[in-house]
Amino acid sequence: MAGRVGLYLTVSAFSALLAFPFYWMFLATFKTDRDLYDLKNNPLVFNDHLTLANLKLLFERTLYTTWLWNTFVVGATVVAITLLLALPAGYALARLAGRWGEPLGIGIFLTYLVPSTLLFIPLSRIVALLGLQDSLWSLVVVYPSFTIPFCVWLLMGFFKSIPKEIEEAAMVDGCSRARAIVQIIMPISLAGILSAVIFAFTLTIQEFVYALTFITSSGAQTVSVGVPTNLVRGDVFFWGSLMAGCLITSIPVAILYNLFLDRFIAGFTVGAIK
Amino acid sequence: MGSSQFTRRSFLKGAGVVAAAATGPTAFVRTARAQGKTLKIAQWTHFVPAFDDWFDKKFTKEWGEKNGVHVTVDHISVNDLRARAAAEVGARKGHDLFGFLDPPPAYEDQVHSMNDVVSELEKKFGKAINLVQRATFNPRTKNYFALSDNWVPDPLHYRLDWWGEVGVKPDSWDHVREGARKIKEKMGHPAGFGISQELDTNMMLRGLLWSFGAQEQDESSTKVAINSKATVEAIKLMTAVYKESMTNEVFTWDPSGNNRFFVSGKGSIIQNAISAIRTAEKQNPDLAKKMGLAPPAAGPKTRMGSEHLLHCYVVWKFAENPDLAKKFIIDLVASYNDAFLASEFYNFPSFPKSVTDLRGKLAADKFNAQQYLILADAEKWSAYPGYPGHTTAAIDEVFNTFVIPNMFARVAKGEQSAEDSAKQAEAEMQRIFAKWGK
Amino acid sequence: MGKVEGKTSALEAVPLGGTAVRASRRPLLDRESFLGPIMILPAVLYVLALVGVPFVLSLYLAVSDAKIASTGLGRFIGLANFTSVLQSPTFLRSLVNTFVFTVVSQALVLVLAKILATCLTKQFYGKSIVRFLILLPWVAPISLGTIGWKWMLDSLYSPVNWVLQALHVIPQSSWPMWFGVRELAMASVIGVHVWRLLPFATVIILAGLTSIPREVEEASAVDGAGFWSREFYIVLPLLRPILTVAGLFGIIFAFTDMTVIYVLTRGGPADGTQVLSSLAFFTGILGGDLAGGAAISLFLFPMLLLVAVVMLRIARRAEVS
Repeated sequence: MAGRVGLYLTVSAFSALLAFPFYWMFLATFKTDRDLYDLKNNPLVFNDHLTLANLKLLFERTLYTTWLWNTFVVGATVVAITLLLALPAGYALARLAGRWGEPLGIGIFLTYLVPSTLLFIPLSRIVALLGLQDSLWSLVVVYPSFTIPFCVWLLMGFFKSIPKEIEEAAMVDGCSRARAIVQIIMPISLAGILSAVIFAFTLTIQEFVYALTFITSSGAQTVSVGVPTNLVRGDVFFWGSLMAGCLITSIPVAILYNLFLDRFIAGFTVGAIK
Repeated sequence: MGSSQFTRRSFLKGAGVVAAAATGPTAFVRTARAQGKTLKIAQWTHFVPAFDDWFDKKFTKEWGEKNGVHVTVDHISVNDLRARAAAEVGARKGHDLFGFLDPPPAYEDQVHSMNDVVSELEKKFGKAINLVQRATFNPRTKNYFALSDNWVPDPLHYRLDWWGEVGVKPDSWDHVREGARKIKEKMGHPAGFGISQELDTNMMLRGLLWSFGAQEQDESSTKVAINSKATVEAIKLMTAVYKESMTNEVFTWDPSGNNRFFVSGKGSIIQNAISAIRTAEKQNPDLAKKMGLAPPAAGPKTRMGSEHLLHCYVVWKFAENPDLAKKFIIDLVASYNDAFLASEFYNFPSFPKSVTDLRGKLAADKFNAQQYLILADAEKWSAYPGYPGHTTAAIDEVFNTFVIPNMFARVAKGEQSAEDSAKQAEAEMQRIFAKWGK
Repeated sequence: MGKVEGKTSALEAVPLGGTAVRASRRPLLDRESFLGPIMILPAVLYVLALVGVPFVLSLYLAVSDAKIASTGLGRFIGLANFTSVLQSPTFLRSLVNTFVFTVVSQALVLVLAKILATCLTKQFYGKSIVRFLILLPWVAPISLGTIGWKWMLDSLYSPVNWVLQALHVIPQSSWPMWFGVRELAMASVIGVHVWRLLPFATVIILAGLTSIPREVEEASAVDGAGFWSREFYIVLPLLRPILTVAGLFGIIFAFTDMTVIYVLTRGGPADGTQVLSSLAFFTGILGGDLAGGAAISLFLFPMLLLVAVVMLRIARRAEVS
């Protein structure tokens, strides 16, 4: 019983601490300026009437819907590319690598050690050379360079925690390794694959430095750049609209992820291979 | 806004990548460029949205039609301008005109000289104001590396009601100190001179230093001059103001911090561009009526503040249409009557004659003409980072690594004595100067 | 022992070829020496092609005298940049801050994520809502979420302070200045960084926990092992590959990402939260000394490299038998 109480308390505490800012963002979205900036007001409730003015500003005076679309499209495409390249690499490093695998794996990883705030300058040269300046394709091409390494390692970790005996048993029975991978390992690793998808997608929609430096025309921006650029004007912040922009981007994605999580947590049917 | 209307009309090619939705991801497609020439401009998102409306939708459109050019304007947040500029230079590709909010001497090798534009404008409007000249000109190469169309003054904002009550006007720094202290003691309202690693602090503290006769460098821009008795006096004054009338929130600010502080009704005095009072007019008109503007406080030597922002355009060497770009700037300066009004007086003309009857315009302000008239002589009490030398790349790095704000902060927080802090700042500046070969 | 989804034996679903396959005549796709490289190569080529050259370039920048507008790569000047920055008290402070920031935030993230992930493996009412709520910090665009925290900890308007005051934890007259006092500022940036990474780490650990075969846990429970000994002797060791990799990436990320600090404190107050990545940005991009910025960014490169190699070795060695 104490365990249950402890569980509920812990979970509530985490939820409250993590989601508290979003509650405020929700309020800020609909608060009038007068309400928001009044020092005497309780910030946790509405003290004035609700207003749609901030939302109007976001949707009518900025290209928010375009940015949303751009962001999600880039995200989906990058995830596809990442999976295509990282799945085989992760498996190979987990199982097939042998002696040269380790330095190779480490080599892929090294690129992380140089921050994007340094890499973006030579990278913008490459982007310009490819003729992708100011186009979302520049992001689609560049982003996998940081999603792939992590996903490779993530998937490698998952593949490693699957006992070798499973494929070996399958191969003894005459199945080719390739087939064993596709038909046996993949389904088991769904958890890991979905994690990789979630991770790659999140990194992509959040990224800021490359999106800022490769793209300037408003119509081609992503949310993470477009919103602050247009709603942080010098020393004046349009808080209500900024927070609305944050919420509207986050909530659908969080719902989506929640559904994914359902898939692999909902329970595995367990069969043991003897 | 910018190129949105144009790109929306483009259609999506490239099959199979995305399921086409109602408004396709037009940004994936190299949009078919209009026939004829294009001019690409990049500049900040102005704090007055109406100015961007005027610039993007009226001025550039009309200019484009008149000259048969398609003009696109891309906006960048003030914080991100430098990063974007670095990327364009790295890529050797980008906009024709790039608008900086502080002069970029480090980029001199990458931009066309503006000497021709300057002489053209001088013929029409006379010389630009002194601070603009010294901030955008490299005396060693005799080259204007940027062309400034406007600058932003940095007056004091103070509460007329409270200062009236204690019977002090913020005229000299001693008055400021006295009045702020009295207001804090009597009514509990703090003053708001930021001592944070951000733009407003950088500007305000430089004004303070100059008013005491201190300076960052000498007039030849080669020697570090920060470690002086005058500097120590200035530091001591600000420390006193902090201890007597400010709270440690002044260490927490970014450029919007002191705005919020003052406009919320909490603060008694700040130094900022007029964005603060304009915001108050919109947010809290009753309170705004109680706000007043004043020139920067005078020190023992002089009355001097810094420009808050110096907007200047560069034309990259890799620009596709440099001549068009230069023509654009000339025409822009010629239209500064409109720009001045559209910006709600934020954009003060760098070529003073480009705005006719500036004083009259200030006096015609609908909200608070009496206060805005204070700005009529702004040029007389404004200088620029690097004064009395030039704004060099070394000074630029000193500015962007917050050497001066930190020099003050360490003393205000009680971590160092004023003398030691000035010495440390001097060492840091010398290290930076050495890097830039000065 | 592994898990097999659904069917009693996936093997029955695999049609066998007519003949038994001998090792010496294994088809191409089965030859590991072929399959391995084929599977890794695309990823390697992609990353090398795109990042390899800029990466090497960045390393070279640190030993050159390139400035932001340099046309070439600058001249080679050896370790002069490094010796120059070592003289700066700002740099030394940034170095210390970087360690503090990284170690504390990563430790907090891993511990808290493990707790939260364990909770999420259990059943309870409202679980779906909880999962939704805890995902939010991670999916919010960093630039916007951090701007939100700017307000949350604002010197004037902070709802956090307001709540603390309402609960009588702090007096009206002296609200904590979250960005103005060194220790509080560091706590704030660490806090926001942990806030945004916690969901991510939780998801990873959760996925790791769910791929631990149930029988393993059930068997140990039957054997009478208590919760804590199960944790330490079974669960944590099984999670080691994932924890190591997640931890390593977390460390690297904390070393190289500067968004939270840039937006919240700009490295202040008086360099109280300045870390290597933010200092590099101010020096290199804003200040124009590109090579100096590179030197600062890459100052810990050798050390990070060592740490990376060691941890990756550990991750590779961990096997589940």
